[in-house]
Amino acid sequence: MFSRTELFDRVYLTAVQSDKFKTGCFSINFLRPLSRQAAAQNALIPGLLLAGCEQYPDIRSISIQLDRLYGASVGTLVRKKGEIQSVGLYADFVEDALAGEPVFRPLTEFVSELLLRPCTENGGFRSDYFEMERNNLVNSMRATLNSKQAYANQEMLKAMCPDEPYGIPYQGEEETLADVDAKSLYAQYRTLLAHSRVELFYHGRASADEAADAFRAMLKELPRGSIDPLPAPACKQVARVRELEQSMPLSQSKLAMGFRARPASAVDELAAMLCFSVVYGAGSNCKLFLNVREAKSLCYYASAAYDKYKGFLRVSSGIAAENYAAARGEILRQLQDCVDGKISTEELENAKRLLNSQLRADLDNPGRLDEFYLGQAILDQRYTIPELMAAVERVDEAAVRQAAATVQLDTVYFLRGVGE
Amino acid sequence: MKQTDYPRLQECCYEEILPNGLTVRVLPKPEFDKMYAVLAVNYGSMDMDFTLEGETVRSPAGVAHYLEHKMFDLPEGSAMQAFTRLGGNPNAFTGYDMTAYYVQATEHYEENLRLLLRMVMTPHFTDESVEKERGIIAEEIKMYADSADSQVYERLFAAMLPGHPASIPIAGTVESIQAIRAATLEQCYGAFYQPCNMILCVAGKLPAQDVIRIALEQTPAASGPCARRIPAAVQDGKSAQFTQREMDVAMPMFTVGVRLPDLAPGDEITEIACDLAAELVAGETSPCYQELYEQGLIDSGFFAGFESVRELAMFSFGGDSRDYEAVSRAVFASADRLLNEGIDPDELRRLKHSAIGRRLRELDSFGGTCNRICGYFFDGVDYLRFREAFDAVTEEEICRILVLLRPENACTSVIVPR
Repeated sequence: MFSRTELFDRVYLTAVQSDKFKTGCFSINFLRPLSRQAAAQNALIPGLLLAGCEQYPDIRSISIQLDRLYGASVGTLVRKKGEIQSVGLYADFVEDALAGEPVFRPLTEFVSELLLRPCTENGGFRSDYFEMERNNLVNSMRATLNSKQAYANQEMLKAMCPDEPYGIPYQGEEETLADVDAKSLYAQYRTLLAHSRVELFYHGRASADEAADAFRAMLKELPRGSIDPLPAPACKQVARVRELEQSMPLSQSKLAMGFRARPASAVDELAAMLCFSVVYGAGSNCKLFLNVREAKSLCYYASAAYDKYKGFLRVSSGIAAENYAAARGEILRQLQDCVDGKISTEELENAKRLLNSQLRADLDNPGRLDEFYLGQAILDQRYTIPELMAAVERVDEAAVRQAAATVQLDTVYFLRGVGE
Repeated sequence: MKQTDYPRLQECCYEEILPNGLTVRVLPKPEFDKMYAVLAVNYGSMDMDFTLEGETVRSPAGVAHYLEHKMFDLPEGSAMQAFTRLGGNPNAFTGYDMTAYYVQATEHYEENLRLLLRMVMTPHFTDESVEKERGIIAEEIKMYADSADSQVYERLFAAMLPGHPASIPIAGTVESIQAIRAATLEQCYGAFYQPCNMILCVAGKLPAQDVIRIALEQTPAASGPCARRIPAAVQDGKSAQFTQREMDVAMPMFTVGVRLPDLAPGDEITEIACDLAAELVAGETSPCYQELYEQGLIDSGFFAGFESVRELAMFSFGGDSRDYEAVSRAVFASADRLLNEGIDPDELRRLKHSAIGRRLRELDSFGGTCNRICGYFFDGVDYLRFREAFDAVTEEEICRILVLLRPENACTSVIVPR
């Protein structure tokens, strides 16, 4: 059972009431257009909010307060949804009924302190905290290199979208932090608070009214001004396929392929794209797994992921360097088979079953519900998960074929492993 | 069927030990439209040497993991396809001391559970299919070889535990898996995959009596002869204190391990005492953590706590740091200070309260809870008694850990940027 309320001017709460869990959770998300100049600054703000506030001035006093709230957690949230950046905080806590003491309400009061009364000096954030968290963010950006597939995916996206916001990593880029200081970041923080659409998500035992009450109190001092509009993602055509290769001392090479597709907000369109992406490259019965891995033993993994916000499909694979041409050829051949309608009834039925089984599981997964409802808010859609499941059931082979036909290869990035 | 209530967790568990020796535990969750079922085998990568009916067997590294891959083959084809038709989402994992097969489902509960059991109870290995898997597993091994997260641990174990099979990566090496044939898999399967060496744990919609009925139908009437492990030993005096490798990472990544005395079966006090010691010494509410964090020497990825592989136990800490030596010095100094100054009972109470709260929240994850029940079961511990175990941990137990936390007892594994 979910309800949606506007608490203040364009501050929305999606509340899901459920008695089944021992844990309750909520998140607060500020939505911004993804921009090269501001992305890293926005990503830095949640970290600074968790460094200290007036009442709890350092991480130690914050952690002690969380211990007192029966081991509650508060963390940062930085997400990229197409060409929108969502930044904020989340909280997980033991439900009052199990704790035998109030936890939810005091936790919202605590988050209010963290969010609205950070430690400041001279009209900016505390400069030592600013330095500390900027370094942490820079380190986190650089750490993308530690996961070679994530690194390959990021390099592929940067090459594919040099002039589109979609090419910007979710935490922004290190270079853009050069001119930012504790004072200018504080100004950005005030902008974020006052001029962003805000999406709250709550999942737990409190009724929608009780939750709305608690969050109204939490945000009663949230400044509000004119709200900046959020852009729809740009759709570009592929002019020619870009090919990039980089070498690194690795045992296993990584392949990342970026395809342009249609964004899908309407439920039937989304269902068709999801069915196609699963038939092609998700789970252990998809064409990529069965052909590239099982039949030809070309890789340990090969999978496709579709992004509904942008209309983008990514294929990722870990392969032996000498199999590059063969793997790439097989990945494209399997896509062509989808376009040509070489999809068996069993393949489509399997894909539908996998999708709907995941969607049914999502109904019992607060984290996944948070993602789903944030997406619905961003795409301005009202359909529910059961309605999406029904749409999946309606998808036929022609719809999958049409969905596949919208997919065009744009960029191939190969991280070649040498001499390890 | 034995029913145990855990009122302090608001949980209830049914248990039945089948005539063939298989332990079945069920956490009924009728209010959820899902099921998680895991069948775990008390057999992992480190169980390479064993005796079976008087005969000594020395198997190559990587058999447990290879078996995990090949268990998904059934005479009629891949079990993956069959699960998909049932809307089930299966997977498996191999550890140093356990192999587990699981399925998550939101429909066809009985059929998914039946298939999971039948799959693990049906060995079907041919030389052709074993051969075909070799390239896939080699790629998986290479993937771990490129992962700094895996490397930092594998190298720590190699340095700390020389001569012990836990010093070898779980999947083996590209070389060691070359010797594995269908006959190798059959032999190790027969030696360890006996019902008396397994536990089935199910959480979800399916009622306990149905789970037990299906388990009875799908498992053999009796267990065959079970392997006896040849106890593995660390070659004492040969362990190193330091190991380093260059990789393409952004910042040095490190883990420090301090070996604790071997665990006796059923010991869960040591784990909790060790985790609480870690909280006191270097947890987020410790002065040590705050200083290191504010100096930019650690970030929120820093961890400290207990690790164990069967009887082997260690206190470990680590993360990313530009100066891991400074971090290490500060952690050992903090342990020393705590020993001298004594543990504040109020602080200990707060840390226990918080740790219990976090464990209560973890109970919402069916998979996490069932997997823990299985892992602890093989160590002779009832995981769901953790609140009682926390109550039992005193300052003395924590001090027993603290005195061991000295730099001369430690081993450091570092991955440095190339």
